[in-house]
Amino acid sequence: MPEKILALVLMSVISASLLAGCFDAREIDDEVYAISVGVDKGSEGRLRLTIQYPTYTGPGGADSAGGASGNENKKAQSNSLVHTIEAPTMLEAIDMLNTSISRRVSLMHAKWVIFSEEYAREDIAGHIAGLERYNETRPSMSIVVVRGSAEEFIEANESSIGGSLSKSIELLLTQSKFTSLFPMVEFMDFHTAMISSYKCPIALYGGINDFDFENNTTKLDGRKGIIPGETPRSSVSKRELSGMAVFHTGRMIGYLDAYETAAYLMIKGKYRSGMMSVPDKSFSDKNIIFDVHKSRPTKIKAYFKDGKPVIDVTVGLEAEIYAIQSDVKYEKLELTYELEDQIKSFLLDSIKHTIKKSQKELEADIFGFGENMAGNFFTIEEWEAFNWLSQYPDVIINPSLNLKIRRTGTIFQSYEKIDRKEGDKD
Amino acid sequence: MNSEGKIGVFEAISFVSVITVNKIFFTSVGSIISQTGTAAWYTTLISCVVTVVVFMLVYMLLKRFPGKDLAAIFEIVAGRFIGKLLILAISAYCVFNAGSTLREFVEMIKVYNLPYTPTSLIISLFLVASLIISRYGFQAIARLCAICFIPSMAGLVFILLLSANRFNFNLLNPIGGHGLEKTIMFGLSRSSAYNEFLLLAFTVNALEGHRDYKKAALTSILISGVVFSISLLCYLSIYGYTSGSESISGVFELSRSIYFNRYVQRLESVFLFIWVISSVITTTASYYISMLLYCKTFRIKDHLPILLPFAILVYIVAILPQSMQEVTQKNITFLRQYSLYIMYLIPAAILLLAFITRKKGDIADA
Amino acid sequence: MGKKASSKSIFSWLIYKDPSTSANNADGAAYSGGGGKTGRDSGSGGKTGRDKADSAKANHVNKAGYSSGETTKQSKYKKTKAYHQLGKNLSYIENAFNHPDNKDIVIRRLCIGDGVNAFIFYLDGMSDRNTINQSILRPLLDKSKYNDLGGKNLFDYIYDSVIETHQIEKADTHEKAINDVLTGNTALCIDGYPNYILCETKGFDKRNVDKPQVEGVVKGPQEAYNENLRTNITLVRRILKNKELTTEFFKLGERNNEQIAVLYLKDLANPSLVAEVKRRIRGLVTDLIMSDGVLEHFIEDNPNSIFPTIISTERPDRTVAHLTDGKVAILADGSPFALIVPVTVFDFLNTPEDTTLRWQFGTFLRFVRLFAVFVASLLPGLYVALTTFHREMIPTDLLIAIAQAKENVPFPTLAEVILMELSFELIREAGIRIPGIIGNTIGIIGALILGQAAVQADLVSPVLIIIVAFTGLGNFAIPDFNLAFSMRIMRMIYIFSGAFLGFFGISLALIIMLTFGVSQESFGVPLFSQLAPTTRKSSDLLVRLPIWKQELRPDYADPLDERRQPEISRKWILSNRYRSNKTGGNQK
Repeated sequence: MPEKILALVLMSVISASLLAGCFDAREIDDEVYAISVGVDKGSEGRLRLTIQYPTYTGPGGADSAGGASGNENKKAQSNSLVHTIEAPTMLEAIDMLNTSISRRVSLMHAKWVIFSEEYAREDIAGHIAGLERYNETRPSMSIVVVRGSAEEFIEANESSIGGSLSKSIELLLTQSKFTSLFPMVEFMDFHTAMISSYKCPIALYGGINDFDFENNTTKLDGRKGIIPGETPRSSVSKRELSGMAVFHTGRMIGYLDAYETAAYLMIKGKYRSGMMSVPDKSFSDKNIIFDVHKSRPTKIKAYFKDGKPVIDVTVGLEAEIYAIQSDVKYEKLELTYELEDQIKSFLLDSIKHTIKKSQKELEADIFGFGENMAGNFFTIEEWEAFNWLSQYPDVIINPSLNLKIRRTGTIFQSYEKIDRKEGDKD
Repeated sequence: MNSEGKIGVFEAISFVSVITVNKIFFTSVGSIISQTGTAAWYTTLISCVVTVVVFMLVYMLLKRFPGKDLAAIFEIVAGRFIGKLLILAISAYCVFNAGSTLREFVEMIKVYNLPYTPTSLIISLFLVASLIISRYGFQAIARLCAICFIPSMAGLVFILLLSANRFNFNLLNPIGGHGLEKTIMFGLSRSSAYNEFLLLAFTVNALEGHRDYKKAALTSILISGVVFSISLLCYLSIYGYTSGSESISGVFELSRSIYFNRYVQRLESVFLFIWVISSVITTTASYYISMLLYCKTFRIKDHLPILLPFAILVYIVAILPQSMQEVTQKNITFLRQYSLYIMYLIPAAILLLAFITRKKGDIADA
Repeated sequence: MGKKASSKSIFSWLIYKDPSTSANNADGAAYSGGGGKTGRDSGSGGKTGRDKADSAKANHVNKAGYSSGETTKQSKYKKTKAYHQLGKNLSYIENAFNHPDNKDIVIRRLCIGDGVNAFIFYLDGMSDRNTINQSILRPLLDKSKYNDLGGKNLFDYIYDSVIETHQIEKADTHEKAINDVLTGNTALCIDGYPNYILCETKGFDKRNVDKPQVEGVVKGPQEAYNENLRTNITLVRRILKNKELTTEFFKLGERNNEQIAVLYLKDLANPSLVAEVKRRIRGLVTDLIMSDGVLEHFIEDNPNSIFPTIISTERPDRTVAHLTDGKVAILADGSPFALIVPVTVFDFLNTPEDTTLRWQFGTFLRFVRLFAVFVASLLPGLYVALTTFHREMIPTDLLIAIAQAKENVPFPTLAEVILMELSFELIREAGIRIPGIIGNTIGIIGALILGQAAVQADLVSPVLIIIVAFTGLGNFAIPDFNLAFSMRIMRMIYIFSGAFLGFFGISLALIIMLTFGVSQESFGVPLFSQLAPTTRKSSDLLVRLPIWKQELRPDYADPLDERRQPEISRKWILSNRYRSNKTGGNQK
């Protein structure tokens, strides 16, 4: 008998709840998925939020409805929409967007959040904390600071190769693996660093390129790197990434340009690979081109010497010669050693410069040396009383570089060219 | 009460391990890190060692009375009235434990997955599952554990492995946390978090003798300790002590942040399965043991009639707290840090009493 | 929902190997390992064990409220002794068979020897006319045979020396004779003797031994049972040439007198298991047992369970494989399947092919089947839950693709899934009934066209077609029909729970299903044994070890002899080593 009563209760609970409806169920096409989210400073102290999401007029819907509409048109570029709105805060802005967008805007699939530099230089800590708390956003999205306006940046973000917007963004972000001219930064890292006592947060640095070669004043000699938006180039999409933005907690205080970022990645031991042209010692107009990549993890030793914190950094890299423009036979062992020293000093200069910049100009431990320094303390209280982040500018940092030229590409010894008369083409 | 059935050592190990380790999915990780900082990963080992010591006491008590479970021993040693009172107290504690665990789970699933589903509905459905499982008795629960143990552990290991590329063991510096004293004190009181082996002491007759109980309980306490420690270690080495203490569910946050490549990310929903299943088992175990103790006190033969009343009790405990903060700061803190005064001190006192009064079990009973 | 007394004792049987403990269990004797052990120790082939079990069985029977199978039948169908007078016997038989109206019964009056009256009767069509003519009628009517009776009376003389059929039997009641005639034999009645002589003349049309219909394999024997009990037992016996193979017959069903055969290996099967099977069969009172399927419902542990607890196979080789594990097979006349008890869930996922193939392939197949179970039960539910609750998990590109495809679909995902699932079930059901050869074709074409048309008409999204088709494939890949069926039903549960609460709902449904599963038993053996309760590590659970490594039989059936083969079954390996030592060694 109790069994029957029990069954009755169970059934009524279940059926009642079924009748009440599915509270959190939402169909896929009831939502639009903002892929990019941009934040600008709006007028009247408001915040200007821009979102970009893919539309659903793809192969499934449009084809069956429109029939033979021809696939060669530029539908690929028109299958995303950009909306901009001004509101007091980010999440409220998302809500307000739904007064005009017919589907609920979801941040589940946001791939990057873009802040304008103007806004980032004020303080974005509140927004970051808000996004961390919000259950829809994914911790693996990227944080980008853009020179100029985030709205323009998003408008310039088109998927020109294939139809998929999200793919174009995700693959763009992973190009860091090949160029090492900008880092990979995830939201989670940013947030962790933001409230950390060890290090300062960094973000991607982006810009909008106006494709104007004539007025482009960027000089590429030496290791003076590019800042985003100034790459002398012309293409479909105007947005570009290069270098990184440096923060003190939630406030942007400066940036590293593309080459400095490469040095930063080397110190972090995250330099996956990248081409590098080094001027030939014997011919000032000729270059030697290397592919440099990480050979072993960076070794960091942190200790106190005479009461002053000292950090020894040993970066391990290896290089492969891809091109020798002069006819010097650098493949010969003695010459290779020479060349190695040359590259080493070239890269070490760059590393030293970057460290110096971080200490003197930015005053921010972007490398996370604090994590190693903390090993000299026993309790968190002592460590926090030491206040590493304010000590950082005065820390003695001794970088050293361990670099080996391992291979010489597909040519293992170049053929000595016969001297020709002037006028012959090289 | 139906007989508790018969279970083997593996089932017993998985029973205790599943319901102990289940805490790792909840606020425990955050709160332990906020209290002990970078020392969290070995703080839990201290708790584990303390628990082993307490276990040896309980085992001594059991050994004195062969063939008897803990509830029966209470009655023998402390006399019928006080013994029954103590058992009822523990039964009430189990109800409280079940309700609080349930509410903690519900709050978290509301945060992460079902924000608009009413709390009462989630609690009710959860209890329906618990009720159905309890109906089949302890043996079914233990077998369920035996099946779910390996997958849930594998899931946990999987989460940790997938986030292995983020490990940065420098984040464990400074090694001392908030100081040794604080670490040890916290480790001592936190040993309450391992008290689930006591639940098995009440159903020890389902096992083949007390020796098996010892084997099962020790193994599972060690397993839980190792799992806790490793999980905390991995979690700390990704988030550090600062943001590590923020998250509502450390391990779940870890699974959220998995980024393997652009196809494999945001996998947390897969882990929802092990998360839900181990939570159901945990709540059910507590709920069932509370009924078992109640039945033992009043010599009730069948637990079917009290299934529903006890479910309603658990429901009330679960629905009572006003908010998430109340659950985590009152109920859970009590369970993890102060419940040892009930769960550890009572058996210890009983043992003492048994020594003083020289009460001993009948060997022929075995 | 009170549990049966018998089943409770069985837990202890499984976990406890110690005879003394199980003896402590009040009613545990019926199925305790102890009984088996005694049998093995005394070396008398489980005789003692069985005796013990039999007495325990009597206990059970009394508890269950039956006096015994035999007496229950008596109460309804009284047995009457045959009369001395031929005429009275004749009229009894005529009456019993409703003779002049019932045209099937043939009653032939004879005059044998020195004018003694007699008659034979048989069922037309059930008996072989040639045998009756050659072996009964001709010798009976041959006057020369009766010259010298050799001191015997006529009846015994005929019984011993005249009738020429294989089997011959006396019957002193009408009912026995009638029942025998009903199976196709011929009965002879002689004036003045209160007995019938029953001559074996069975001869009816039956199907040939054919290929398996449901459990086909690529490699391995290609024989399946047919509807004839005798043939089926022969098929088993032909593979298992063993004197210990015992067949016991039972008659069930008061209306149709169904023949049930219980097969087991006397020196392997646990006597208490055999006793339990016989107890359940004997304790049945019903009027019609049509086939093994009906029998299954009558003897299974929990008819309300969604999980099957008895394997039904049409393959003699599979039956034999189980018999040699110490299990019991039950065959029913008129159905081409054998029931096998006890089983665990893993047995449902195994096929004979696993054993005929090399172990690597066999293991691979098992994983494929496990995946099939997962797909068949969970996939549509997971899809619904994913698309309505956990959209963050779907890769963005796929998500957009699904959304694009769904843009013009006017139904919620749940409705789409239900629509497609139902149409798939319809195609399945219709495919069986569409006549002959076109059946298969229509099934496939129907599915293809329906799916294609549904997508084009924007009724469902194309991803869903893939999901449903995948699920259907998974379902057919499950080797056991019953298990596949329970997966079909569970699928619906998961779809609804997934649509209602996402993965949370599915997890709850899953754990409840698991609870049902672990609390099920198959003739006292927990359905999930080997996993929960954990028993001895099996060499043939999911990963099938090489056949020569499977040294022990599965212990859940508690066979009398646990060892299948010695530690080293490939003795030639030893001689190999010896040989290489000899040639490689430096002494010779």
